[in-house]
Amino acid sequence: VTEPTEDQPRVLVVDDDPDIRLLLRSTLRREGFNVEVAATGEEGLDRAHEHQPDCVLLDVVMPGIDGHETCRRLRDDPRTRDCAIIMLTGKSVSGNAEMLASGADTWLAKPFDVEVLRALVRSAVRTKSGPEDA
Amino acid sequence: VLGQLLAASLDAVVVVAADGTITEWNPTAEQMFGWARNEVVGRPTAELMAGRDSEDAWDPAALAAAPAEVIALHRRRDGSVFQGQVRIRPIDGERRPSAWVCLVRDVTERALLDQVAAAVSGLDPVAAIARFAQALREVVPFSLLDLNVVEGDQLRRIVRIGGAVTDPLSQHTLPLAGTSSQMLLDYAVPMVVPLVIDDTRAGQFADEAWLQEAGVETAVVLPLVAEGRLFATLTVGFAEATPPAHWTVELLASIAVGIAQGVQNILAFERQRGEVRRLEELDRLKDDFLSGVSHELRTPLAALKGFMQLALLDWEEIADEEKRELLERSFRNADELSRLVEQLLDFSRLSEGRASLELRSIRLLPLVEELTDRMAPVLSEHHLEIEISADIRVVVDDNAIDRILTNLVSNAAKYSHSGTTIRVEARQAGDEVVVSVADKGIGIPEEHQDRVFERFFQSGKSPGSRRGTGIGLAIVRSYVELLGQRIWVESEPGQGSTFSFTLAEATSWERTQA
Repeated sequence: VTEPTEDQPRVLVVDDDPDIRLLLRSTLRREGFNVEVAATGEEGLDRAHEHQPDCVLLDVVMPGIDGHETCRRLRDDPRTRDCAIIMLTGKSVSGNAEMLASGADTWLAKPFDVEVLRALVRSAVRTKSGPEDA
Repeated sequence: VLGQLLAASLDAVVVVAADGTITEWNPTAEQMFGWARNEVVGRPTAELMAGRDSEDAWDPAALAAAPAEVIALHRRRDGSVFQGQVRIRPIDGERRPSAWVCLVRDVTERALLDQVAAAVSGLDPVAAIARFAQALREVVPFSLLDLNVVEGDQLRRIVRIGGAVTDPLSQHTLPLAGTSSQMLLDYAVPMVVPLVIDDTRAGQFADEAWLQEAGVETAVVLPLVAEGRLFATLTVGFAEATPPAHWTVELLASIAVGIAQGVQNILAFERQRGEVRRLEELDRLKDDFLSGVSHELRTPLAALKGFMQLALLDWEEIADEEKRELLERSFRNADELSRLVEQLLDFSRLSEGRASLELRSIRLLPLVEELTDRMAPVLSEHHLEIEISADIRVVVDDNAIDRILTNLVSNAAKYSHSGTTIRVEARQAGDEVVVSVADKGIGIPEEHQDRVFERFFQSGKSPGSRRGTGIGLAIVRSYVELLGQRIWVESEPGQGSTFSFTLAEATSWERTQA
């Protein structure tokens, strides 16, 4: 794996479980993303403002502010309003409406397929950076 | 003879002429209404004795048309009222009687006791209390009715009628000391005589601020006795400064026994209501538990599946060192999953009472060492200290001791930061051995220390972040109790927790087995 560079798409992982953070980081780094991690919603917001990620992966159940609230705050802030947000959840979910209400673009249930996750992030980053590149 | 009959009658006998005036009035009537014979003869009935709703009943036309028996409110000379049952017999023919003989009986007490009986037997004591209060208020114009149950050194108010309270089953506690209830309680033999408070602001009752706050000037406090014990008091308060009439006090005293019975019914109802609430709470906890369990299973499963898939997908590109790390982490998550599944199975076994014991004596130290070795992946980020004398032998069931120690040790790891020490020690005290597992973790707030062994209850959030199912300690306690032993926790928030349990020392047990 090469060291992250400036032009690599930036992905922020926010999850309170250390193993899930490590898994997501390894998975996405290997795909050529510049990955930052945060263990709480608050830390996630700080990192997001600092690094302006192209895509944020957000766990729902976290201590402190949960994933939905973190998502709303990201959407409310002009610096992070336009990034792609993918929610991750280990809870039983009633459906899209519940998972996307706070402003996420899409979501994945845990346990997830590593390849599906990679594809989702690639597509999210492409969509978000598309108009700027054109 | 007729005069003697009239004098001996237990009913008030009132003879009313066709024009509505009183022509005969016996001694019972004098007592019941407070008017002497010479004061009433020749005067109209309605003017003298009719209370609010009975005015019409004593009209000659009404007497002519009335059924043989009527119950109505009657007024005494002093203005107080009572429920009178009137039996009416026409004299000189049914069609145009020249007079009516009316027999009046005071049924206030009976009517009130009927209401109390409704509360005793009814399914809805709240409504029954309200009906009783309404009936009582017709004859005793109280401003406040408080029913207080004596509990230790406190009075717990379970009923309040009057004031601003709408639900008569109102809950409130106040200290017993210095109250009139305390006074009644102080008699060696429970007093069944009511206590009259002439002035709530004066003398020994000045402490009873709750009465003054409710605007009560005078009051009657009734002792409620069951099985020779004063268990509650009924305070009937009045807004007027004049002391309650002796009629009132007598009436209240005579219905106190019935009320005592009624109160016991209310207490039973209350207990039932509490039980329903407890079950509802348990149901809610169970729902939380199920969604918690699904989350608990999915998180390690996601990590396990992800690490393995990652290894498979990128095998060629991953350095050996990282492969090893992926495998280790996979193992740790698989281990956690199997622990969760074991826990769920344990829990259902214990809940259904299917767990059985096979006792044997064993040396404790090797057992603990083997178990903590097995748990090495869970303990890899903590320092483990074991201090158990090699000669301590205990009576255990293999499965039970495994579950008890596994849960306690993994909890210690879960609720403390990496790098801290977990200490397992045992010391012998007579016939028993006290085993304790101590951590330097987040600790348990005092108000949760009693509850951590409850099913589904969870106190804090572990620093390692996994939520837990809330059944681990319930399982531990069940196993400890199954072994006939005790478990307890000592904890200081921020300093750590020490869980200790007892085990039987093996020597005397072995003797009974031999």
